[in-house]
Amino acid sequence: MTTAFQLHVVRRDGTTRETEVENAASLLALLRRVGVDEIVAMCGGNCACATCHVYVEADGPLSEPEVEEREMLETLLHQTPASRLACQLMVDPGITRLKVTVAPEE
Amino acid sequence: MAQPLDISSFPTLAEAGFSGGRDNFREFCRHIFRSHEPRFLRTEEGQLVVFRHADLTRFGTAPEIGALPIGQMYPARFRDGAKPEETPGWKVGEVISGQIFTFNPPLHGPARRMILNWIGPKQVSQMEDLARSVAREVIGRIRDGETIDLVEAVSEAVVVGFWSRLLYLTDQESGAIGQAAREMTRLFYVKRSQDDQRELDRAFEDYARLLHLAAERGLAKGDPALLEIEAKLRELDFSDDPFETGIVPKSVGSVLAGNLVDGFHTAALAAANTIHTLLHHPEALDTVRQSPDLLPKAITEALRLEPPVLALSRYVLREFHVDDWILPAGNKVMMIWAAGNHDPCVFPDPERFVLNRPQVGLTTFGTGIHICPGRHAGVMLTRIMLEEFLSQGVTIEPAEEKPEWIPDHFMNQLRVFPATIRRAESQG
Repeated sequence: MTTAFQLHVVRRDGTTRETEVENAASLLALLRRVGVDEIVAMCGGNCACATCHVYVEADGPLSEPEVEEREMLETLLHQTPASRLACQLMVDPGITRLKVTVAPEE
Repeated sequence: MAQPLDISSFPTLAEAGFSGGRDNFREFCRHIFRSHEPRFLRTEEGQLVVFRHADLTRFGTAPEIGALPIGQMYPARFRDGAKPEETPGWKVGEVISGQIFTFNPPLHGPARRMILNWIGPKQVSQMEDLARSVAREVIGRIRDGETIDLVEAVSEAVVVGFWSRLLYLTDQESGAIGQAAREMTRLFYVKRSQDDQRELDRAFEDYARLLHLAAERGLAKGDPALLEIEAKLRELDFSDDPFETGIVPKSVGSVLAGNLVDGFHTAALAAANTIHTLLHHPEALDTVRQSPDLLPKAITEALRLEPPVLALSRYVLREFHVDDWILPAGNKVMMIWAAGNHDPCVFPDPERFVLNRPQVGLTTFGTGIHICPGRHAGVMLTRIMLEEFLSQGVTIEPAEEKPEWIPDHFMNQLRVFPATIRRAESQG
C-alpha cells in the first residue's frame, strides 16, 4: 500500500522545497527523486560513508536507527538528536509530514 | 537465461592501451571513452577489469563483490608449511592482513566502525590543531626563492610528521617511517620484480616495528583513542579466515600498521596531486585565495581530476549477476576507480577543472561498504597544507625542471614535483 505525505526539504544554502511524495524504499531514494543532489551518498546507500546525513522532524514516530546507523552517526561532527542517515531511514506509513534538513558537510 | 561471463572475450588492458601511471591513464581514458564498447576489459591473467562509471558503482556497491581477502592477495603465505624466509611478500602480507580493505562481513562492519571511531569526521576535526602545527613548521622552514621538491619537502613531510606526532614517534623514527612509506610505492608497480618484493618486505618490516612501538607507547601513556581500539579489538569475536572474512588483528599495533599504510603513503599523494592541480589552474587558485571557504570544493574537484589511486582489486564472494551474465565466485575484479572520475557520461569534459561541478558519483575513494574510511584525515591534511600556504602568503611557482609522474603504476603518483616558493613579505 503506498502512502503519500508532505516532504519539506531544507537545503544547505537555506532554500526550501515542499512537495507531496509517495513513499519509497528509503529517504535517500525519495530525496533523489525530488532532485536533492547535494546529498552525494558516496557509498551507494550502504551505511558506510555518512554523506547522506540529514536532520529529520516528523509528525509521527519514526523507526529507531539500527546499531550500524547509530555508530556511524556517532562519528559525525554535526550530529544532533535529530540526525539520521537518509540511506537507512524508511518512512513509516503513519507519517503525513516530514521535514528534512540536509546536514552540513563533514 | 543467464550465461557465465566470458572474460576471455574482452580485450586486455594492454590492447586497450593501458600500462599504468598518470600520463598513460589520461591517454587511456581519452581512447576508451570514445565509444561504449568494450564494456569491460581483462588483465593478461584473466581478471575482469571494470572501468565504466555505471559498472564501478554497480560492482562497488554489490554485496556479492567484496574486499580482496589477504589469502587471495598473498596465497603463498597461507600455504601449509610456508616459511617467512622462503616466501616473498611475507612481511607485506603480515601488515596488510590487519587492514580493513582485506576484511569482509561479518568482521568488516565492526572493524570498520572501530577505525571510524578513531579517524572519523568528529575525531579528525580534533586533530586539526596538530596538523596545522606540523604544516606551519614544515612550510615555515622553506625560504623565499627556494626551489624544492614539493612531494618530499611538503606533502610527505607534513603527512608523515602529522601521523608520527599523533603516535608518539621521535623525529628519527619519523624519518625512518617516511623512508619506509616511500618504498611502499613499489607495491603499486604494474610489474614488480623480485628486488622490488625484497625491498618491500624490508620496508614493511621497519614500518610495522615502528607502528607497534607507537602503539605500546600510546597505550602506556593512556592514549584514549588507542585504549578504545584495544577495547573494541577484544569485542571482535570472529575466527581467522584469510580466504574470505579476514584475519582479526591481534594487537593495537597491528591495527595501526595495517590501516595507516594509506595514511602514511597515499595521503601524501592526495596532497601533492591537489597542489599540482591548483598550481596548473591558476584561476582556481586565485578564486580560493579570495574565497577560502571554497577550498573544500577545490580539493574535491582536484582529487576528481587527479585521484591518488588508479586501480585496486575486489573479489567475487558470491555468484554475481550482471545483466544477462553470471560472474562466478572466486574471481578477482580490477576496479579502475580513477576512470569513474573521467567517465564523460557522468563528468562531461572530464579533463577540465570545474570548481562548481556537481560532486555526486565521485569514485575518488571507491564506493560501497569498502569506501576509504581514511579520506577524512587525508582531505583534512591536504586542506590544512593549502590553508597554511595561503596564511603564510606563499606563492608556488613552477620550477624549470618539470614534475614527473611515475609510469607503469597503479597509483596516480608524482615522483618529483619541483617548485619555487615565493613569500609575500619578500615580494616588492
